[in-house]
Amino acid sequence: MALTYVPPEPGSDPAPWDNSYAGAGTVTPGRVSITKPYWILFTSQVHGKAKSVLEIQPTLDPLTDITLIVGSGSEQPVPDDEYEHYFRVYAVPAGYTVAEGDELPPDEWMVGSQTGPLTARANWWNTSRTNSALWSLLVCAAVMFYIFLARKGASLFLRRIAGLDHVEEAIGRATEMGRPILYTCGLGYISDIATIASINILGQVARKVADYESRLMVPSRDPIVMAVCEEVIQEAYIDAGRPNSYNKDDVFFLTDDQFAYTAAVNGIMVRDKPATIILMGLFYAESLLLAETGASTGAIQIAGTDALAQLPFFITACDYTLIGEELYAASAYLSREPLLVGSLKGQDLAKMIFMILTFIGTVAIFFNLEFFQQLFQAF
Amino acid sequence: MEEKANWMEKVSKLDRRWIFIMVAVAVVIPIILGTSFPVNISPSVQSSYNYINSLPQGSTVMIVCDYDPASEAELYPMTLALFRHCFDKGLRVYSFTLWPNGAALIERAFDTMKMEYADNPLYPNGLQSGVNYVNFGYGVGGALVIIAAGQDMRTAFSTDYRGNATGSMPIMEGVATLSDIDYVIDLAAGSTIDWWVAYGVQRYHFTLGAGCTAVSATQYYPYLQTNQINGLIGGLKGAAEYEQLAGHPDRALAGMTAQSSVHALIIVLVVISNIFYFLTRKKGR
Amino acid sequence: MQLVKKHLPIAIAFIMGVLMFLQFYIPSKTSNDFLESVTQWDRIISAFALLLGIYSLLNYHYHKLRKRVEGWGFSVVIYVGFFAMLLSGLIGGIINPPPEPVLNSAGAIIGQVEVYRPFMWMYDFLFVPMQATMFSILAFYIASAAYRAFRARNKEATVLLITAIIVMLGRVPLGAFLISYKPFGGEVELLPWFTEWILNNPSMAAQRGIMIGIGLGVISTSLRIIFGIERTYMGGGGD
Repeated sequence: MALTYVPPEPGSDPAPWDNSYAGAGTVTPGRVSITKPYWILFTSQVHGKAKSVLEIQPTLDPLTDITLIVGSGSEQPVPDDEYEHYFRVYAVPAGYTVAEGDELPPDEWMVGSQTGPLTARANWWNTSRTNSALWSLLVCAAVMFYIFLARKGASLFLRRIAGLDHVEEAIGRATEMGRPILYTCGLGYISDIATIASINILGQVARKVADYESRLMVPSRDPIVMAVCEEVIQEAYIDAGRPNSYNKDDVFFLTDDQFAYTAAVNGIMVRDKPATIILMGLFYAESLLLAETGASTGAIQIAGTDALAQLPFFITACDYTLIGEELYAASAYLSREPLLVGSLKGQDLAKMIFMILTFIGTVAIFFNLEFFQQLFQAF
Repeated sequence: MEEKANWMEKVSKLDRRWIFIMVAVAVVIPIILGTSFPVNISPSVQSSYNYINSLPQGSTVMIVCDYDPASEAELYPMTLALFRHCFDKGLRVYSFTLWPNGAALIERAFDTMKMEYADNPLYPNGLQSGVNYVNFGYGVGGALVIIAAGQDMRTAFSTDYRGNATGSMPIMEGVATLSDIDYVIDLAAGSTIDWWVAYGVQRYHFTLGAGCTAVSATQYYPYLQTNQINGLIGGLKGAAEYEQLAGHPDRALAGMTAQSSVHALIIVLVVISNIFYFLTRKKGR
Repeated sequence: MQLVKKHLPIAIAFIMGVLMFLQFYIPSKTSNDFLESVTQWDRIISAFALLLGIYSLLNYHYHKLRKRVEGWGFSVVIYVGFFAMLLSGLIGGIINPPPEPVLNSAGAIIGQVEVYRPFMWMYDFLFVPMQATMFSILAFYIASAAYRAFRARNKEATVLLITAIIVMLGRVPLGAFLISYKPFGGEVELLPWFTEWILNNPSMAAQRGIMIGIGLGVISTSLRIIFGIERTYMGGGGD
């Protein structure tokens, strides 16, 4: 058997399987050349026992040379970085195995000499994720830039969103018909962004409902969302100068079970026959059940969700639908609060940058310019 | 002529209860007749199957059942098909759910497997919990469970569904984190696949497959194209394809005829509604 | 009071938001331990949110019962169902015992019969069918929605209609059965092949565009929450 061990070269590249964690440690690898297929056990010896055992099975033609580049090969930060690691390569008979914590194989099976001691140190920055950090900061900067502009009083344009333009008309319709407005924040929790966006819209809708002195029913699936909705609606009524018109019983918790909630809301639609139904937030499979039942009662329906799979059902069954990020834009659109509009414009700037980069990237790939792809290597 | 116009109007605005009856008939009759169609295999399902098929005996597969009884019709056959394939190959199967009502379904699936593989030569002592498979039950915290499992599985799942400590289980040998799992496949009724990609694959670098309801399947094709998931089993048809590949025909394949007849019915209804829509519109002019 | 109700939650949101952002990029042991700790605390808090849900449900229906509000009978059903499942699970357990063998007259085992705990019986024979039934209603609703709304009112609607028909046929074996021609000498029939093409190309492009928009919206809303501009989660509106 001919095995030669090549000591590590200064500044050599990290091991292939280290790429996923490149930049996270500073262990110097070594190289081993073998000319016969054996089971190769690579062990990192800590306190005389095997640790981080890597088995490499021979899978190539016996006459093929194999060059192994070995390294520390860890997906996690080295937990015991205060220990010194020694690296050995053993060529062992087929079927021989070493598990973590076992005694090391006999010394006569060792290939070359031991490397070490090497001490792993976690870096303070994972350089393989630098791309991701920079792009995240770019998006943040775009948003903060427009928020800054908005604070300075700049006038920022927002295009029309058809569904939101008809909210006031829908509330007016309900008032004329003497029937309530049903608003649901979806089936998400307060930690879901769509629910927060929905509650923002609810505040605006509640304000308009208070002005019209109509009735607003808000069945909730989550008690925390219900509590937040209560406060938002109460504030809206106070802002409208009609605190006594607020009816606490119209904001209620039903159940946290998906279809039990759906059945309950459908029952409310069929019995109370609201003139306007607003479905905003995170929805799952029940979206069509809600929208179709609402359509059957003759109510005008405005829906908005960021759940991609449910959008087709809302578009089919509802009069107006806010698609994806239009839901997030809705609170800025209705309130015209400078900071909200500013953050929306920042979003749009970031989207414009990504659109341009997508176009450039398509051209770059067409002409095989790989360096451009590297800029977007996530990690 | 008036009568004809009224009749066309009536058909155009048919009471939906008639449609419900037609759908019910379209589902029930094929099931009673027991007819079947061969199923063509889509590349996304083939990909998942091939990957599991390539794993050597003793490899680890985690099948996460992120659904509840509402989605049982589509995702439970998928679960059984995957379990059967894994146990045919002698793989170690780990399972849990992020949905509280789903844990009992997993246990039911494993109980079914225990009965089916009781006399299998690969398992002389039958399938044993803690040895050949483990059901960790419901994990509280959503995406946080994925992060916790990625850090340390024994901490994330200290006991199994039956309350037994997982730390000393033979099946946990050599498995410390999600990175040690050879294949993870998430069967999702909701949006948990997004969590698995964002918090699982990108952090802990394991191979992920996905299964989902038919309505959600289209939104996961971007992940498939970028290889963030290596396979996608969509809906009852996907489950039927997997059953056919694995050689265990069951509910999903049996349901294909009913699904085909309902799809055909909907197409016929849509065409009829459009014909009468144009006719009534022409009349109106 | 302002400090506790307003400033403190905003400060906590800011600090935790920034720390979790940085944690993703710092691979040190301290960073990892921090992530583990936060994850465990979050899971504990999530578990308590379940208790909050139970309290809210029972409290709401208690008030309905007390005031004899219309439909109070259903509140009784809630209480009966809740305590039946809870007590049967606590007392009787939630794991079924092994199946009992069925013996013939000679004493040989000819089969086995499932033995159910009350909790699992209610789960398997009440809860599961009810949930599955509600989801199955979708099939009927989709048919009625399609009949009502899939009209070729304009060019775009016509394209949508034709695409829907192709995909509906391609996603079931019927499509392959109807047209057996296999394009480009491949192994897949025309309709399934075309369906896969639609899902992998125009549909995916549209999905991806919407996903990018949603992703940016999530970043923007998250930034607003972290910097205290968005305070809806506290019960208040924006700044």
